[in-house]
Amino acid sequence: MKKSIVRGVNVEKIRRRKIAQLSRASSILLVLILLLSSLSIPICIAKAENEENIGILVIAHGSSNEDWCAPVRDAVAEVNLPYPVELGFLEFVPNETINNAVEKLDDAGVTKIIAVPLLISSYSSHIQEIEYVLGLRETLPLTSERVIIEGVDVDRSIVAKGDRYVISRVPVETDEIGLEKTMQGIVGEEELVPVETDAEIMLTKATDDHPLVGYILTDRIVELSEDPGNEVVVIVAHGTDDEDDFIAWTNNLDGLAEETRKILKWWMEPSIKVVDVKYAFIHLNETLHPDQTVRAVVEEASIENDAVVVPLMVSEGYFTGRHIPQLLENLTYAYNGKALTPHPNVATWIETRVICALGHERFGVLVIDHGSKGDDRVNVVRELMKDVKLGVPVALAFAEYPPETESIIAGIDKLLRQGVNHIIAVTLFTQPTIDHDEVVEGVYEALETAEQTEILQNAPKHMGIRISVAGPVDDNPLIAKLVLDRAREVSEDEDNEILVICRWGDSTYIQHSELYAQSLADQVKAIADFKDVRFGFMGISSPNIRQTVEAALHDGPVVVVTTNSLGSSYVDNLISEKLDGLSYAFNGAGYYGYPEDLDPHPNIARWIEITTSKHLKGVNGDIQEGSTTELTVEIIPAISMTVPTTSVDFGKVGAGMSSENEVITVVNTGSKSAKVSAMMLEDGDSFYNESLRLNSQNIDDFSAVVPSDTPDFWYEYEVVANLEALDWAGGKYNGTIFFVAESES
Amino acid sequence: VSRRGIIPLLLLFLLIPPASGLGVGASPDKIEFGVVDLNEGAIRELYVINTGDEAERVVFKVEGVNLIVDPEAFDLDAKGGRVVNVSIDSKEVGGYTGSILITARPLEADSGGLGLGAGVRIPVSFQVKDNSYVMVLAVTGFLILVVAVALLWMRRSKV
Repeated sequence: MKKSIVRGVNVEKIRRRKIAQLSRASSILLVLILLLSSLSIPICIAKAENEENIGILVIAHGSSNEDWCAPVRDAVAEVNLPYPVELGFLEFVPNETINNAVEKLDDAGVTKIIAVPLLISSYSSHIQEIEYVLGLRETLPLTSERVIIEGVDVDRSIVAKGDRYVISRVPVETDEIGLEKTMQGIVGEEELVPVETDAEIMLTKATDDHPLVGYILTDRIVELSEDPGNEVVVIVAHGTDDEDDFIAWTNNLDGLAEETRKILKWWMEPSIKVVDVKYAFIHLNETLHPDQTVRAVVEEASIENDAVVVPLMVSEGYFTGRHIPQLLENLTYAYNGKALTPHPNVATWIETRVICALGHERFGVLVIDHGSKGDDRVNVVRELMKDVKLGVPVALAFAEYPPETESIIAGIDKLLRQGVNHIIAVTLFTQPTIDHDEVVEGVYEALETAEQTEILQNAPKHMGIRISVAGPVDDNPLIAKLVLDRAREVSEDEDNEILVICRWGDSTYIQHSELYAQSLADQVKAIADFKDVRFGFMGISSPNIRQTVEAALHDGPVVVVTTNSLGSSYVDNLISEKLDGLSYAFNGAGYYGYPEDLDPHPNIARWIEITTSKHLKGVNGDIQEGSTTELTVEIIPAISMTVPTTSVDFGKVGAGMSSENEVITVVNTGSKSAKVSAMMLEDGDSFYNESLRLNSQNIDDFSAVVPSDTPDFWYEYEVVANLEALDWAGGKYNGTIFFVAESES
Repeated sequence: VSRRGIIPLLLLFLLIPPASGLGVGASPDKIEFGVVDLNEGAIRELYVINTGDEAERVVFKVEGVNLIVDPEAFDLDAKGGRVVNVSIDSKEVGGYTGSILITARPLEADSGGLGLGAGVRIPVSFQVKDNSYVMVLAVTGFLILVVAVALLWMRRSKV
């Protein structure tokens, strides 16, 4: 009967070992840091980059009617972005001008202003005026148009006064009412003063044909529609009498009408299939476009169907309340005069414009741990997350038993509120199991839930949100180092011991379990001094842990480590049962340590950083603008060939004679073993093809297998080259020989 | 070796960067398009990196198969990388295997004699199939079925 000696975790021994390793490590670390900086190997560089302070300026037209301005202010107040947001009106609101808003942003220390015009069209003289005030243009065209302001016909002109521009509003008929309106600020003059700021200013597009506006219109239609199969929707916009701009207005309205029709048909539940969605303009050249006036379009729509009229106006005021009803006097139509505000999509639209203007995807990282009923695991993961240094918003979530603020949906919500539009979900599962897959599905489901608008639509609110999945932790070299560290905590004679990595088996990916386990064992072996590194499973994969340990004991003392996240007496007892009667040293601390002795290994945080940065690199080519920390990792290509020298000099060689041997070093700098061959290019007279010998072979016959070298990725192979100069040869010969690597497999 | 002796040795080592000459690497190390519809084509990305310590000219050469590599050549700074698109340019049904040869050479003209260059070869395979006949067969079958049903219906009506 075999003697059973189970060496459990000796805490004191581990502590002494740790101290000794720490002092050794600190001296080695200094040298390593110097080496790495000298060799220019970027591994993980953190640098402060974000010197840019963003500020948001929302610009609305303005009105002397407070009821018009209030919903706009409310919409801007709803904007949820990690930047200061200010509202400025183009005209009519003296104490809330664009200039006032920019001053506030300046005071907040912003260096870049994203200006978002909350206007219906990017194609109007108002946009030019805004550009002038923002310093984006030096001059203004002197325009004049007749407009209706709060029911008063007014000539609105841009007038040059010296080097200044003013908006001049003159009533068409001066009477007592006109004078009264003058007192209210409707008529008179307002100077357009360019802002004084050092901040860079970027002006986005207006609402135009943005789908979020289409959803607002859809909501308005739903409120009015009673019999969709017999209804024609008419969207009423302000319009313009400038023919060039009019084309752009009609293009935008074409798009909006089409979007609205599709949203009604495809995104509503149940589907709302109206007969048609048309549009009309209040202000246009009626001579050129008589069929696009509001009355003409509604009349046409009413011939065979019922008309549903929805205004495309930023806020409710004179046009929505009085003017449109006046234009449609004596016609029958459904109408409630509701404008774009108030509606949650207005704030979302502002956020979207800002995010798109900032360019790049706004990445955020959602780290997902399995979770557990107890607090220990939650606390240790929170603790290790403090060590994760990423320059992007990060949220932590637990798949099971999540605290209220740390569920997957709460994490997604947190990231979206920080302007993230590309979520990198990083799972901390230890192997690719069904749990991992379920969590990934959970992330998509949670996003779908978060996407539901609050207005009885199935439409995705966060269109364009992307999710990339990273994980599980599996066989990364960082995890190999973690496993080795855990093994060394209980090892007594590494050179003579066999390390056995004990893994869970699983029922879903049985055929692949061995693959990852073998890979991890190989990674550990490459950096360890253990006599051998093997693996065994506790579950239903092969080989089982007892079989592995029994076999290993024939070759030397055995150290068993687990790869579970959190150490637990349950796992320890399970292994103890399975290995009953065998002698082995054991460490079941896993990634986080035991609940009573939490010890999260720093490599988990490093793995999160590197895994995330790989995704950022792969997706975007660079870490996003606005990040404060840049992580860099050098990814070694699968196949790579490097030649340290770029020429060979055989000296003087007589015709018909052989040269001295020269050594050409070729290096496999890839991550895989390579089959190396040679080929000549630009070989005049085929001199080298006929006379050069590589390892005594002709060029075409030369072939060698050069293994890869992990972790250095530098495996040198020497090729002996010499010339057997041909009898006919003479003079100098130029040529280039290429050493070509190809995957050995 | 005394500590005094190690430190200058270390410093000397630190000050001399390792020579890494000319090099080129690529990922993935092989491209398998799988089965591709004749009318659809397929595209893959290939990541190329200059593993050397000087700028170089990278040139792609397609061998034994009809592929489009875009771009076909460019300069890469030391340690610089770039993604190229590899797409199928084959108009005939069949199985294809070939490779993409990627060579790197110095930007500056060589000084004569035997120059050395580095290269990698990426095997490529794909199979082109024409699935359009399946649709034709399906439509023809459907039409035959419709005609048959119509004929049966007419016969029954006559009876």
